[in-house]
Amino acid sequence: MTLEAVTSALLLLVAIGFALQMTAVTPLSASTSSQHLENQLQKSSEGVLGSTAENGSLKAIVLEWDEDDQQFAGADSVGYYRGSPPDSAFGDTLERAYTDRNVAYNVVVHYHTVQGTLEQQELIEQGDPSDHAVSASRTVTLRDSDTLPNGTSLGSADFYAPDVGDGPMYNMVRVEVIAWRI
Amino acid sequence: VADLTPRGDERGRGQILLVSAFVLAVAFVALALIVNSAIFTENLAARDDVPGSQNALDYRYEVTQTVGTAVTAINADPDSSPGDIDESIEDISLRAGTDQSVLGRSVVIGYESHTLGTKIAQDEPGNFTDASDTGDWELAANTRARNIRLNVTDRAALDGSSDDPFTLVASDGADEWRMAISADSGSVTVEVETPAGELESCTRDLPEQFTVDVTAGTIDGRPCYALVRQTSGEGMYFGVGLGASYDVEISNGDAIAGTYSMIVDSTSVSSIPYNSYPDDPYTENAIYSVRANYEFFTSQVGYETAIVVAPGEVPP
Repeated sequence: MTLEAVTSALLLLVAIGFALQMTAVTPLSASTSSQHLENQLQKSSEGVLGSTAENGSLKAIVLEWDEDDQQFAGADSVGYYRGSPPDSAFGDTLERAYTDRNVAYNVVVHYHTVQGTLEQQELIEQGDPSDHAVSASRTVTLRDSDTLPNGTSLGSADFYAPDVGDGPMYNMVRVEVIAWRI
Repeated sequence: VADLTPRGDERGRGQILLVSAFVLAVAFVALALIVNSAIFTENLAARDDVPGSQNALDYRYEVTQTVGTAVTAINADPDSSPGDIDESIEDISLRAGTDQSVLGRSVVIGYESHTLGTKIAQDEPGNFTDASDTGDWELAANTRARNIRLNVTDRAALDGSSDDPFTLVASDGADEWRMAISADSGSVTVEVETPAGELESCTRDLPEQFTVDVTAGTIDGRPCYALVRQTSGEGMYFGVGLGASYDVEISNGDAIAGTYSMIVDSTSVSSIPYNSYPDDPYTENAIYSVRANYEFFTSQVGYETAIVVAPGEVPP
């Protein structure tokens, strides 16, 4: 046992420790490579919103409101969907995009109030987002003549968002998807 | 420094260990740098050229859609007049500004101008005939049309009409674009013929009621390539290959039953074939297109452009 031996052993340990730093990247650890995953998740979230906005299923889920129970149709007693997404075209798209890839997500609808402020209505909740959650949003424009599933037009319905639009317009809501890897 | 391996001197081994550990450490550092730079390069490649520039364009598209909804809503609402669009856009600008401010963006949409057109529609289900029940008639002359939607409410009316099917014609005098709809019991065929002589058709099993969105190229909500493009890339959409303006005509309007609507880029549509609202078919002043100014600012990106919105217009 000499001083050199001890020093070299220490140096070796430090070198291995340093080397481990660059390989120990799990989905939850913050690093440049998980930034890469975040970018991908961001883009696929934007894609989900874009495609559902284009085929109308995003608007359909925003309007899936049960007037009598004052909650989303078929939702939990809290008023929104918890855990699994609703059985709809939008829900199916979310399932295909996220569930198989171990991604959890919340969906929130931000709407305008008469006072000009923003309020939010939860649509789907799967828990508290992690530090690496990404967010993507899409505007959905509602008209007075849009109808709820029971056939009532928004202009005369008891809906969560109020009528703040000019003339035949109703409200402009922003649907936000917050997704994170689990 | 002493010899690395002095004969019989076991104490010298420590030095070898020391030097190799040092070499190993340097190698690891180099490796870490290489791997990290590879990851970083990949990451850079996946990013926008200017951070956030994609957002400006994405939101421009959303604004176009929103203004389009406002145009459609005003055109469809009997209580609104085309002049209301400037207030609607002001309202949209206010909402969009509030929405985007929470994301750290500043958005302003300013109304610039709008082009008036005419809405041609039939709201009560019936044959696609003119006011005097003629099946072959001209809807509008020397114009362009957008947002042409035909709602068939009685598929049986199309039956057995394959010899003289309902046909929508766009004609610029020299050439014609034609779309014929015929049915054989449950199966409906939409056949399109372009001025270039291309002939394509879509045949579908459809319910009793369905919609043919001519300008969006869908039948009952599903795309029909005969109304959009061939696989060779040859355009098939409404009015393709015609001049800047054309006449819109219907042949055999009695071989179909349902409702329809379209917006034409003309304020001087002849009133002769029409009734006055609410009797069908009717014409009404409508917005053909709107021009607005779009501004998008973040701490990194400033973007300003004019947007022209004409929902349901076919590509040029």
